[in-house]
Amino acid sequence: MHNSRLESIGVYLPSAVMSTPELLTRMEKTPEFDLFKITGMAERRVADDTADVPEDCLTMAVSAARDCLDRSRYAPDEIDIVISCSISRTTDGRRHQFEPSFAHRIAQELGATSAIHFDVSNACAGMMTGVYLLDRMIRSGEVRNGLVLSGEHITPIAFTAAREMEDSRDPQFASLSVGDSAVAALVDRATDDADVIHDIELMTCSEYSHLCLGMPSDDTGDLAMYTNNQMMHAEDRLSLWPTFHRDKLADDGRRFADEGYDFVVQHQVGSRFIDFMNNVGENIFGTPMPQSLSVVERFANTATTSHYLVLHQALAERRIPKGSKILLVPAASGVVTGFLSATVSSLEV
Amino acid sequence: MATVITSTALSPSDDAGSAIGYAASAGSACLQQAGLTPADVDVLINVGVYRDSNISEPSVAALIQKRIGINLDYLHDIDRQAAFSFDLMNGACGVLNAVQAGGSLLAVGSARRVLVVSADTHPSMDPTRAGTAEFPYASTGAALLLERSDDARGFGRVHHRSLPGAHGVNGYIPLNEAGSEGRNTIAVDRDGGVLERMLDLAVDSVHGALAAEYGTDAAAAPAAALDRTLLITSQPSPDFASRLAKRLGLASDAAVTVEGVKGDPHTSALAYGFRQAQDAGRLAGHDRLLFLAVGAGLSSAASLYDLTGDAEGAAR
Repeated sequence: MHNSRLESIGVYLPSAVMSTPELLTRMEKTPEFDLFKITGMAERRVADDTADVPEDCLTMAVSAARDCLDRSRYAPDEIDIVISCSISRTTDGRRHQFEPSFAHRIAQELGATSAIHFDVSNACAGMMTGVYLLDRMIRSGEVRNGLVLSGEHITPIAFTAAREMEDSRDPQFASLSVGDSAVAALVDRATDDADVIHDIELMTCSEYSHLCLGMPSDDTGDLAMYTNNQMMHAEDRLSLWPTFHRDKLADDGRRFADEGYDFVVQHQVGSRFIDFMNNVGENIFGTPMPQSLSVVERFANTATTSHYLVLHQALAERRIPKGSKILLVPAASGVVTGFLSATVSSLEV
Repeated sequence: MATVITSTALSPSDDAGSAIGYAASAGSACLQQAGLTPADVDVLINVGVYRDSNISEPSVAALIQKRIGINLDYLHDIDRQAAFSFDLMNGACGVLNAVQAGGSLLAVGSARRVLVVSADTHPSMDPTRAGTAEFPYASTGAALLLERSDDARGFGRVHHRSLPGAHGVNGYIPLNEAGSEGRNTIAVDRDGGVLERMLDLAVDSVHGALAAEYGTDAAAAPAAALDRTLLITSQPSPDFASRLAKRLGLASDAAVTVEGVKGDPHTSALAYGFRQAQDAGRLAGHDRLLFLAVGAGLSSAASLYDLTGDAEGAAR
């Protein structure tokens, strides 16, 4: 059975930067809260899908894929599978697309015409789910390599929230925390221990699947997201990750403290959330957390792409020494939790 | 060792028009028939495309999972049976992609049972708006339980084709035009002549699958190569299956036409075809099934399914 590895990674970030004060000027009702203090987000990127060359989920995903393939040993026609994982899936002038699959359109644009293709939708755990499936398909021998990617033009939900929300207790409050981006990761067979995905395990606890719902707004229109923050971020929800992770390791007689993780990347919900997650982890595992990486201040919560964007930025800033073992922890509506651990050495940007 | 269907169920028709409801009722019935409980499911894959209120988050699978009662809260469950779910979308072909991805989960031991559910509905959940010229898809759902066989029975490789150019079918929410009606609005644009293109692609896919499985000689004579093989296809039009059979030089009853559904059963078509053929006793006299789906893209997926477990038959 072949292990898999992260072979290459690419991103696309829209050039337009929107500061948090600028976002708040879009609000119909003057905010009584300090969004930067609550989230730690100073700015986010905002795609322009009305430009001559539009930035939307499709174009951004294709750009990220090209960036990824520029660093990859694979040409587009050597890719066995393309898995697109975005939530927003908008293109062709604000059309939220259901079929054909985004993956089909991306594969055609790239010239990966014989690749297997399908979309995965799993809220903010989308790319993690895509990598999970690809890892298992590589292990089983079904495919040799594949591209997992997501173009996420998600800021329209922030603008819907700005038009409609009442105060910080409004179910659309969390929608203010998103940013746009696209990330593509090429995953293939590992050839040594220097680059390898060790574990990727995911779980959905469906009791809480109604706590965060994305759908069109029935008020001012366009996409919107409604979150019960209090219930979603209750300590019991946050404990799901370390409990599941601990149990999975214990099945193999392993312990978190012995795994030698060098870095942890939590979902980029906000700086406080990241601290909470690391604290809960520390309490349940009974050991200090590895160094926590984040892009929340500059790029906010980019939904499906967040962990891989953090990884990309940290690699670009040369913050991850070769041979480092990284731990990615998803947290998504569903609710989905789990963990991915990988050693990265030749992954460069 | 292969991926085998161990139980199937179709959702009973009702007026609720909820894709979540259809998938959950089919999924629950599928487990019950197999003598299993929700705790026996390791992975739930939803391949439905058109959903209640155009929900984009969480996965529709998570909402179906809750309705079936699979892994509600790991933390407070005495048995701590973890389970995972997600949506996998590729139009009518999605169910065969789920066979492929689910098959890998079974093969590497990440799951012992994968429940694949499918359901489509008009987002307004008004069943009278389904199966119409504007929205051609039926308001219905189905479920397939996948496990590993210990013999040669089950699915072979899934073969794919994609055509460049026009997508044939485009399904989307026109967000700007929909305004405050986005939860109830869906557009499905079908190109003129798309059914002919789908038929051409289907024929091409059958040739491709036969060539890959049995060599080019078999592909050149599909009627002989598909002896004792029942075709179970997507149903983009009521006569699609029989027209495909004719194009391949097969008897018109060599392919299953789904009955009793108003509109295209879309992502549930293969489960419908399989279950209705089973109920009508039509699997008898066949050694194999050929599952074939053609959908938007255009894309196709095809896989031969061995019914006998007889390696001779599979190798023919």
